Amino acid sequence: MPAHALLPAVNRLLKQVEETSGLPVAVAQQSDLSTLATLRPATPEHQAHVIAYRDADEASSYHVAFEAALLLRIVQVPPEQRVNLTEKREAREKVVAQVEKLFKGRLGLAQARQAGLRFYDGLMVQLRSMGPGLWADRWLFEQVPELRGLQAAVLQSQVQGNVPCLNAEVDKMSPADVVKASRAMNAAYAFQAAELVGIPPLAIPYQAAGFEALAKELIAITRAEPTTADPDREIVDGWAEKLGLSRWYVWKTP
Amino acid sequence: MEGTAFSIEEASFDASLLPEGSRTPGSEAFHRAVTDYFKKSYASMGGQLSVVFAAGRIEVAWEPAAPEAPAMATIGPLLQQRRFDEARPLLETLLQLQPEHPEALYNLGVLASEEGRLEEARLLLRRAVVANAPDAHAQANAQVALALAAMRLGDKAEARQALEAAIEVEPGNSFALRSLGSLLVIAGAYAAAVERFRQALKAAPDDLIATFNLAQALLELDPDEHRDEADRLLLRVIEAQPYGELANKAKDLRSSIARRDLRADQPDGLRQDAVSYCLQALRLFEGMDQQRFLAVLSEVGAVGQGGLQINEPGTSRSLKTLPGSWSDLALACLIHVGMKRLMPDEDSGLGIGAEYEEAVRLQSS
Repeated sequence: MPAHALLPAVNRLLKQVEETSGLPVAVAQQSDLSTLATLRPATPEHQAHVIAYRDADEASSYHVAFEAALLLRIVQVPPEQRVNLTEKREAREKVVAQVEKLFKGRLGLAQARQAGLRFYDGLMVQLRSMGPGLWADRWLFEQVPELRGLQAAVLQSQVQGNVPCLNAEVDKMSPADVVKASRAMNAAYAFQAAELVGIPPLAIPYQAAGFEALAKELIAITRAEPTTADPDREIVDGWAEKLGLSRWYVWKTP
Repeated sequence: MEGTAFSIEEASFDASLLPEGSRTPGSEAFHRAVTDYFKKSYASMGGQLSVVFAAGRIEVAWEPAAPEAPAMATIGPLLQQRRFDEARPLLETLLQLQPEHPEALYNLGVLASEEGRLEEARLLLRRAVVANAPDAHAQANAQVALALAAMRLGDKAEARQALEAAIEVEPGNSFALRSLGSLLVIAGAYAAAVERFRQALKAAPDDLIATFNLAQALLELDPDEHRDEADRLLLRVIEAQPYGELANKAKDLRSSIARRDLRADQPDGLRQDAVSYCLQALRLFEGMDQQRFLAVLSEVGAVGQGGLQINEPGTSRSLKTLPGSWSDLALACLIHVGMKRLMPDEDSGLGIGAEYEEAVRLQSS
């Protein structure tokens, strides 16, 4: 799906990003991506933002719009204040130790370590992306209503894909802290999706599992008026505090 | 919403969602309350819910109900009333749910053909032919519609194939027979076309289009041999439907027969009796006041509408506006001369233009 095949609303959004940042946005398909879309903001060495999407289908228009919305937030943070979420060794090693204990006798140490690192990294990616992502979904819902049809399909698909995280088997295979935090974030996603799409039953599994109150607190954080120049960092820190993950990472300038 | 399935530990279930007295995991009251909770939660979605308790876990599965296909009983009247914009989405939904629905394929194919989406029409109608195989009449109709779409695409080969297939399954399908006849005319196969038109009329004797088409094909085939039959057929069309496009076409074709008749005995020269009649008409109208002239022309024109046998000797008619008896050729000349007086630049189509010019020359010399 070349750029000219994107929906007009998405093209308008990309133009808005270019005008705000003063830099071009390149959009390209990359079929080997492990996620639906990725965003690479411009750097001093590479003076163009790049949005890559995986599948050449209609939904990719929404994924591109989603990344563009996130990019619009990022480019408005003064460059000298932009930071990256970076691992904290103690937290990482704690997860690894928990996994080694969980799989003792069933997995070799090296394999257990690898699994532990994946759990930790996965949770950090989820923490960094999901809160700002909720903001982006809501912003798109309000500012680009032409995408609501696509958005509804994407959100429902994501919610359905996340539901198995509640299954009891997951508790036996994952560190408790990681599972609980991940489920809470998925619950926030589900409750907001249910609201935007207008299908309350989307959130039933998480309500039944007791995540409603926490999910709504997380959602509220994404909707709060920012008080700093980096609203996404505020969301991530707010979520981390609610989820008991504040000491799991640090912010570092790139 | 798509179907969903998940499981949670009984101990993890948010007991605050349940009535007091039913919050102890594992108890019967708990199981009943949890089941009720999920039933209420998914009630608005319809569909099918399953809640199973096993080994301390709650296994929940929900599937949406299969969407109800819109019925042809609803769609049919919309099509009959030509409310195509309303019918189309229902047909499309029906086809999505039942991809080989015979009526949906046929009607969507016909709509697409009418709207100029011809390749789409052809694909749909090809499928309609297959889907309607159990019903000979429906299949024949699908074949005819396919033929029409193919014709519109310029694919005469597929059109002919489809029509022949329609006739094979339904030999008495007059529309297919007539359409095939028309296709054969285009191909110049007049004898075969005549045969098909005759078959069409046997199946539907009152089909005026087939009647006209047969007349036309007969004249193409051999105007001398089939002149009388063709003229009779055209007269039948005019009598059954005196006004309208078909009647006008029939009259035009009869006029061409008359012109041919007029030239039959004197292919290279003027017909002298027509020259005389034109001269007579010129002299008659010269001294006539406008009001009477228009009355005469109106009456003669009305008689002419029913057809004049200008080559038939001994024809004789009386008029209210003119004394005496008038042969059909004389009346034709009155019509031509009268028309030329009103509209000098127009032609009556009766094929006596040259005779009229000669009469004018004689009158002025």
